[in-house]
Amino acid sequence: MVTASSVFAAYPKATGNINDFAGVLTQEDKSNLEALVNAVLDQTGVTFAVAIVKNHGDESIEEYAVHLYEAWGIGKKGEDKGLLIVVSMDEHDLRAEVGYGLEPVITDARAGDVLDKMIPYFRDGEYGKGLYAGLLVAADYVARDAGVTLDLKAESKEYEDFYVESPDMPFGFLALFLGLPVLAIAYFAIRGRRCPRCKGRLTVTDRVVQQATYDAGGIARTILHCPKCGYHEEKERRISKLQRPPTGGGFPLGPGPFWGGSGRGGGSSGGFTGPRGFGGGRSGGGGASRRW
Amino acid sequence: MKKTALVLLVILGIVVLIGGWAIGSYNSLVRENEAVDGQWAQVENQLQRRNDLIPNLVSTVKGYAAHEEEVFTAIADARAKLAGARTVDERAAAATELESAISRLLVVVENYPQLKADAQFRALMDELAGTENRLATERGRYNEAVRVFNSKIKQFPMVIFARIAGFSERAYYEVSPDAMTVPKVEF
Repeated sequence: MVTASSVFAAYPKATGNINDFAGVLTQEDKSNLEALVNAVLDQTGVTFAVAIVKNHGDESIEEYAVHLYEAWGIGKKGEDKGLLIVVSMDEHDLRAEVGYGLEPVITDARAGDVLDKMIPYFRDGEYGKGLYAGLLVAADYVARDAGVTLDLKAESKEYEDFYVESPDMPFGFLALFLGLPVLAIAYFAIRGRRCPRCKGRLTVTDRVVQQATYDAGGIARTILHCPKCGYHEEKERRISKLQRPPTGGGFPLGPGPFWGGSGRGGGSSGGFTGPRGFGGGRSGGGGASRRW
Repeated sequence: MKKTALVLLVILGIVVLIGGWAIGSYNSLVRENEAVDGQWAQVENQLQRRNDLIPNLVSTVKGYAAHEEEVFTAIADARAKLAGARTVDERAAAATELESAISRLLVVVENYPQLKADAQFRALMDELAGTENRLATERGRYNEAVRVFNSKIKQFPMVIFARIAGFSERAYYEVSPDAMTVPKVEF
């Protein structure tokens, strides 16, 4: 049996990043989702896209998603930093398809988390909010990886709930309290390194060889180098598995900006702008599937 | 005199044309042959990735179902076989065996509701399902690359030339239909 994957069935054309071919989103849903997608693209360079279709035809949702991803070319060619959410209404199938370049950031388990966030909303028929809640989780992972704090806000009143300060506020403080001593110890541990040969100061380079995931630890390599006598040493150490991020409560997405004035009426309402951040990106079947 | 010159010119023209065709064909065959190799590497990546995930999965399941020795042994055997397999056909066969051992493990899992609720296990299942799906995708692309290459070297003038240049048909990654389905665990 040979699968003829090149048979491009009639995949719908993207009209923007949020494509509702089944007519389930309100204008308000769309403008909020577009604002979120635009913010992520502008601030991290990662392209999110959504396709709500009536059904996925003869293909499985997985096949449909990988083909649609390729047809749309989400993310820049060669970079492939994109995330496509496919919602298939008839079958109640849901898929997050992750571009090659985003696989280290949105691992399959994380893609599962993103979809799990959507399901309760979908069961209530709140498709826009479900997508928004899920994409916020994805945006959080992407922002952390890019080392930025997303500047995001709700475009309308109904979506402000997503930005209410979480009640368990001390999380930040806790991180600070735990983090400072750890940082201090790490700093002194690194700073104090002396060359065993000439007692000169060593330069220390830390490099991640293999990213850690939830399930497998990663590997990091520490390279010690003495600029004086040329002493060179390399050590490998394991990075422990990732911990699941705290669920529930608010999103640590930066300054819950709804008090930040009403300015910035940016172009998200302007309808026919076409998809942004589509440039021939590809995916290889990474991601997760769910049913609601 | 004039006539022989003309004939020579025509012959020269034909030789140049054939030479040009041969060079172009050779290069395109090399390119497509490389594409097949590149795509096979992607398949290998995913086989490796799955191989890396399995010890974690097995140890998580063992935490709840230590006495299901039979399944664990089957998985260990299949992994060992995969490690020893070299050709595309051998690797495909070993991978299929591993797939059926994993499916049996997933059947066993059904009897342990606590295990199914385990967060670590759920994450592993997402990773496993994702890897299976990636494998299916890359396998499809590999077979497509093989199809393009094989149909090219089997067509008429090329079939002779390809044989002279030392290109032979590439093997498809064949999968039995029941192994095509991605193992799924419903929560």
